Amino acid sequence: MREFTKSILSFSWAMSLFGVQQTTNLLSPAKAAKAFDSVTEATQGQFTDVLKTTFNAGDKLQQSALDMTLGMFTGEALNPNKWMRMASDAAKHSADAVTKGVQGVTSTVQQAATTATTQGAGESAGSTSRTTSPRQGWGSMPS
Amino acid sequence: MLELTKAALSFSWAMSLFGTQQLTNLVGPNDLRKPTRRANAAFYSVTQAAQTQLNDLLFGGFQIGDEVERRLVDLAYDTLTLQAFRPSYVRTVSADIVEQSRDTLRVLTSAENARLAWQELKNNYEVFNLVKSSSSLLNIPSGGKGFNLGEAIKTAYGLGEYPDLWAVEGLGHDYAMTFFARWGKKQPVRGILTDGQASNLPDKSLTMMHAGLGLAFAEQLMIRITPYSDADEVRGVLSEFVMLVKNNSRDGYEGAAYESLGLLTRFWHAQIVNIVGQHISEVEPQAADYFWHGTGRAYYFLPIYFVPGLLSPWSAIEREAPNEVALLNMIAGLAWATAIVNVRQPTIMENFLKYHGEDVARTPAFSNGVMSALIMGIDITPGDVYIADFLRYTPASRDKKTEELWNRLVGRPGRLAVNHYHPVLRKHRRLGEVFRYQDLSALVAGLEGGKRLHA
Repeated sequence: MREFTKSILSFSWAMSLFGVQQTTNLLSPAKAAKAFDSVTEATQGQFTDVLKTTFNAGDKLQQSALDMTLGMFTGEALNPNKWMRMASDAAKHSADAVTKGVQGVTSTVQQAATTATTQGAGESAGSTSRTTSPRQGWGSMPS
Repeated sequence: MLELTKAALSFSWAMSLFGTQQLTNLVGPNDLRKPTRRANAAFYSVTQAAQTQLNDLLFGGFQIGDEVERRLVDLAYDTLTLQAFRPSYVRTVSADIVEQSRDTLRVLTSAENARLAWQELKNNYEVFNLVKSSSSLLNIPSGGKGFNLGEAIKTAYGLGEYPDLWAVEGLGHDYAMTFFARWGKKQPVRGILTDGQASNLPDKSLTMMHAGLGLAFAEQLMIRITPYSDADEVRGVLSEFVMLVKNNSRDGYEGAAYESLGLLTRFWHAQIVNIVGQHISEVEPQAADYFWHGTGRAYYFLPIYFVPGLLSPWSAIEREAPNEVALLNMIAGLAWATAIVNVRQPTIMENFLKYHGEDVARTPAFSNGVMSALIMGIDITPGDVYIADFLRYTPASRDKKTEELWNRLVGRPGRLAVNHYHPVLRKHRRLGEVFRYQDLSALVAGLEGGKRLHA
């Protein structure tokens, strides 16, 4: 728990300073965008498959929405094809996310079932080995 | 501006999902014995990514704030678990506070001490900048295309005595990085400092070129591990580092490259120092001493100890060294940096000895660090006037004790190192050996068939 508290505080401190850094980077937008991308990429690297898909779906959607908003000024927003494409992309990505989510839940349930079965078998094996060798067992392991 | 807006939106979205991910990591941990391990690892990776985007000032701010936060968390937990009320704990903390306050008061209450502290700070900052901006100082083309190593070495030496040393270290790093494209494609990287353009490198540049080479390797490899990586993963990365050093260094100079692993790890990845220290001794036992020497050198440049007198790196290494051998190497590494960074103003070293001489005299490591630094310095810049003046220096203070400490810890060992040990180490091409703590007299005697020279 001590390490966890330190991790949260380090993370919060780094993010606060990253905000300050990005404010100073505003003078060179390309550098600021690159810095955002770099941290976003590292964050994405921590996601499970389901969250990765969700991230991609949401990201795509908000980027398209931004393009459309700016398109108001250029007339692009009036193009029905654009709207259709955006809606179908959003639907596709959402479906992907849901599929990945269902797959994730299914595999977790399967994994839990397998673990329970193995543990059951392991416990009986453990009791056998305990009778033969009292040093083996399920006690805490050195970290 | 559109790209920036998109990047900012992606970042915000990623951060929102990161919160969800961390919640999942905590609710359903992989390992019930270490329930926060996955969440800690994720926080660490993202924190590292953010940290690498900070400029020097903010990076310094991050390190100082982070260190303070960590100590406060420790204190809070120790108080909650009643450990903070144990007499030994109270004694250690009080002694640290008293020692530190004495140092700070010493700097703040004497004009001469404040002037020397200011000079030391300027030296420290100058060195940091010389290494960091070597590519612009030496006109190294971005991407490394058309890199002319011979010209770059000439330009580095053209900067004059003192800057040349640091510029050569930066050059070693930048030159090694030009091979990174090949390395990134998993193609074998061999002979960086033995073949091609490097085959014509002057001997005098080799120690710090190897230090720079090690810095480049460590920089690229250490980002692959976290404090939560498996032992196999850590050992794999360290084996790759050792292999790269062996395949790209000249015989007798590997130590300089190994030492940089400690420097970089302590500077950028403080949380994995002990893990790396533990595994490097299994992967390559020879490299362990160099590693700890490098961590000692890093303490001199850490932002939290950057301002002389505020916090003492000497107390910190005593607190943080995991064992006696590591401590000796760390003391030698820190002495190494203190001596060479301030070689142009021997009064800084004299002032240091005046207040801390008795403490550092308890082990031979301090003198060893000073000797190694001077050997390396005179090797990089033959006939260096600053080193010659440093060795001729007699303490200005009328204090007999300081004078005796100077002669015993710096003057006599320094002259012996430069006049007698250096020529032997150069002749036998064993200059990489000075990047760790060891009995130099025994080393030289071994190389010369048993003749021992004493300070």
